[in-house]
Amino acid sequence: MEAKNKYNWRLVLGPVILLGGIILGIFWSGFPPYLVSFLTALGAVFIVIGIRMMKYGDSAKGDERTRKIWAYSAAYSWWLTYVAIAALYLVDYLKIVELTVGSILGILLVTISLSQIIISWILSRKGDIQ
Amino acid sequence: MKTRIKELRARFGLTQEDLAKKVGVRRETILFLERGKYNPSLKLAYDIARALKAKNIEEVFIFDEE
Repeated sequence: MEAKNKYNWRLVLGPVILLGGIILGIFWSGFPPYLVSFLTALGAVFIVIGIRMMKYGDSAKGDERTRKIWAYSAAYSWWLTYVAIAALYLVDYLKIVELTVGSILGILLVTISLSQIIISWILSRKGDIQ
Repeated sequence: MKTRIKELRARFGLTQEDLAKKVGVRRETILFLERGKYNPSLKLAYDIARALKAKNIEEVFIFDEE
């Protein structure tokens, strides 16, 4: 239990940063919006990590099964993103949709992170990589 | 891979959580091992065999060639 309690500071700091970001964004008109996004995201990350550390203690970083699943999902996600890049290239080449650099980066960012999360969830439900 | 983890665990009155802590893995890993859905590394198999006071790995893990 003591090992788990040492991670409580993240659970305290997370909401403070998150709420700080939101409050500064609302009440200080000159506060840059990107800093609001950064602070709220940072606070959310602290909360998520804090909860995981509370639940799993030191093994929150993962044991051999979860590390294996994460490595495989990263590889699958990489291939999926590669396919997405090829598809985006085709879409742009054939002028099907007008794409900007920002939209392409956004699509790739979402593809790589979402696909890794979904694939690792599917693999972890199966138990192992066969 | 079939295992006798559940049987040996019950003999020593250990929960999945207890065994997981002893060998440094998550409870889910023990669960999937007991269901025969996860093939452990040699080190984990050895650690589990030792935690369950087995003489060797074969006493806990039954390798199924099919």
